[in-house]
Amino acid sequence: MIHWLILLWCLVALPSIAETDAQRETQKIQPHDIHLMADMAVMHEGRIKPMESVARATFRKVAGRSAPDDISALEWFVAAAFTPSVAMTQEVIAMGSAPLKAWLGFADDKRKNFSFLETASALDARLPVLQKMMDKPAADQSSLEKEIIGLYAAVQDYSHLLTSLTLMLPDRFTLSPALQTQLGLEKKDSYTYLEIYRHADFFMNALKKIRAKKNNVALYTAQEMNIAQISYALSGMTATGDGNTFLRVVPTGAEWSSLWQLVNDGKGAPHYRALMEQWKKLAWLYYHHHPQQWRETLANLKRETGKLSPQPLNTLALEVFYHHANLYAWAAALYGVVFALILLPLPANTSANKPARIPFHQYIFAAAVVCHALSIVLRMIILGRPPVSSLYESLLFVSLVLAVITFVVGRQRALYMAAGSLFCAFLLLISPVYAPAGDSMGVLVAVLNTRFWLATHVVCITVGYAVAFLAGILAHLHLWKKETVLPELLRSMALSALLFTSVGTMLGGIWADQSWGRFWGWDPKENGALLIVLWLIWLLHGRMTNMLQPRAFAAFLACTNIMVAVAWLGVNLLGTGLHSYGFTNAAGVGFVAFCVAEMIIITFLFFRSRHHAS
Amino acid sequence: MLPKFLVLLVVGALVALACGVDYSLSTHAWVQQRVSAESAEQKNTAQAVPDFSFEDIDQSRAQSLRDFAGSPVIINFWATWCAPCVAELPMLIALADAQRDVKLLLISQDSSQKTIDDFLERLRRNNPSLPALKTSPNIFVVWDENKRISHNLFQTYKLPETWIITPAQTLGKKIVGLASADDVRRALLQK
Repeated sequence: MIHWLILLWCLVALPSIAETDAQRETQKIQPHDIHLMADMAVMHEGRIKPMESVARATFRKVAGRSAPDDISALEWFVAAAFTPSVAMTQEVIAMGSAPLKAWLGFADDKRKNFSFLETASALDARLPVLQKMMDKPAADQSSLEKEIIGLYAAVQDYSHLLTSLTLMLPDRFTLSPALQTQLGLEKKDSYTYLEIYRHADFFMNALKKIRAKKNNVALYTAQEMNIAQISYALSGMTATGDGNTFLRVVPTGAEWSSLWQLVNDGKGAPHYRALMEQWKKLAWLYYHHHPQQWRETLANLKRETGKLSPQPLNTLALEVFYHHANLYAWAAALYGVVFALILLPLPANTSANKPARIPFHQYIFAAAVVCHALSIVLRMIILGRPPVSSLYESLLFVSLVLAVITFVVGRQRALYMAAGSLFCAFLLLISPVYAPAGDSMGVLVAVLNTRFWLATHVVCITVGYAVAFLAGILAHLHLWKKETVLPELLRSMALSALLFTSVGTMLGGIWADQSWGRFWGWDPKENGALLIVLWLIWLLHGRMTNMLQPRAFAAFLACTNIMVAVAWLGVNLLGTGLHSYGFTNAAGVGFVAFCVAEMIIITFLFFRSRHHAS
Repeated sequence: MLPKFLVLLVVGALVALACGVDYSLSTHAWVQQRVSAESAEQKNTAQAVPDFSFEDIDQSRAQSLRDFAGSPVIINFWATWCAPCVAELPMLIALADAQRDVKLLLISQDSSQKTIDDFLERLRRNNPSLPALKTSPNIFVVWDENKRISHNLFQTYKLPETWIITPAQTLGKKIVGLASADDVRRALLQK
């Protein structure tokens, strides 16, 4: 955190820098030139990803939303890296909660977003208290403390972004003509950190001599003042670069390095020279507005990075497409359209087993499934693993399974399609709530990093959740109108759900035996899976022995949705057990509301159907 | 009942599809490359060293790195104001004096030649057992005045840094920070 103060001094206190940044506002590379950086390879959070993904993740972490209002996340990101002294005064850091604002001394401020300058200064003034909060175990931290620590992490990332390229930005240092001559420098208005760093020992010695002679800064000559300023800025910028591993763009091995790491951590080597030169040139072209050369340099830079990278970089463009296409949003919107087409204008269509009057909705539903499936396949290709490693991914996958089964089983029945599309849209819409802060395509936690078990246990159990959920939805429909869903279908769906959840649970036990050394440990997640299995066995046996009448069977089967919600989402709220990759604090209220609403709806439907029968 | 079979069939097909895609991904060449990225460090250090010319500090011997092909070369980046550099210098000189087949290039980042001359004289005075650097056949002191070799070519900014160049003129081990005699000997033995 101490670096922030140095950063403020380096970037704001030097008047020459602030002025040139203001002048630069009028000379910008065009947005379409910036967007050529989208598929630039960066190692971020353990994975090589396009700059587009890093930009989106960083903006989401800092600003709490997906993109700025007027520009794209990538434009914001590039501007922050290339013109940090402008970016640090822009109001971008999200501060939604009133207690957080009050803690930082912004209680009377109505704004929702604050600048880096304001936030970093406020955090810096509260550093001792903040340090105490961070020293506490996570379980003992209050929700406000967690929020403050989260803000601190976001601001730290942002500060690293702002300083990621400062070593090669062309306007960092202004030298008097006399100093330029003394050092034998090419005559220029300003110099980069790296250009001046070559003469670091000169400035160090010169400052030592000046300070030995004069105690009072007011007595310094213009030349001495220039030397003092540059010496302090040099050491300040070196300090801000220390530990800055944010923008890892140099393939120095399995772990990539940031440009600062090449300079400060001894990661440099002769074969990185070309890459370093291209980055310097890119910074110069950004400042001097040469779009054509910018494009050429960028192409060279990408080629050079590809040559040095030991990892293949062939999914970067695909990942950029994945972001831009936003297929999940399209799928959710199309599911919504299907629901509207079936139910809203033509309520008569909901009747019984008749085909819908507008079969057009089937095509739209099919298009939604294609969008949905395509986005999941893209995700699998990009990540090289099944998309079931986090709560967010399982929501996407389960909703796809739900959609496919709905389409296959119920495409001729409008009511099935309406219910299926409603739930698919619902799951897709709530999924971002469970997405991790920053990048949703994170690397796997160690325990999940076995492709075989991901493809068997996790896929099997999530398919089980999806079928159980669908069985619950069909049970709702059965209670609403008996003829819409035949009891045999309910039973077969319950059996299918039982098959997948029980096989998935057993496979999980075998995996646990291999990973954790025991088959069963009464972990909350394990108990949740067992709960669904036991619930379905109880229901099916009750029905087979006629202890449960069809209506009661349907009512209890509808309650399976609650069981699924408990096993899938509810146990994650406990934040305990070994399945820590799924932990979340998000949407606890939503989960409780869902369970209560389901209880009320099922009770209502049950008594309504009993009343109709009598 | 058709739906029951249909549901099982569809769900089964989905699981099979997931397993199939997973299998095909795991056997796909680029995924395997991704997994074997750990071996990347070796790839990076096996790079050929670019040639560069240099003059000994008293400008008596002008040579290029390629002249040393066939011999292991130790390139040490140092400066008189860098304490760890000063600490390791006698060790490096003694080591090169004992192993005459090893060439030692001491590349200084100081801002004036006089500073280096004064320092070397002091070093010799304080360590009488060290050989005379200007006449030693395998030790070269180079003043990298414009950081042409250190910053531009080797991307070396922090001191000290020691590169071991193999007899085949490829990059061997790099030692960042203070090096011990054992570190350097071990690095010289590595192919």
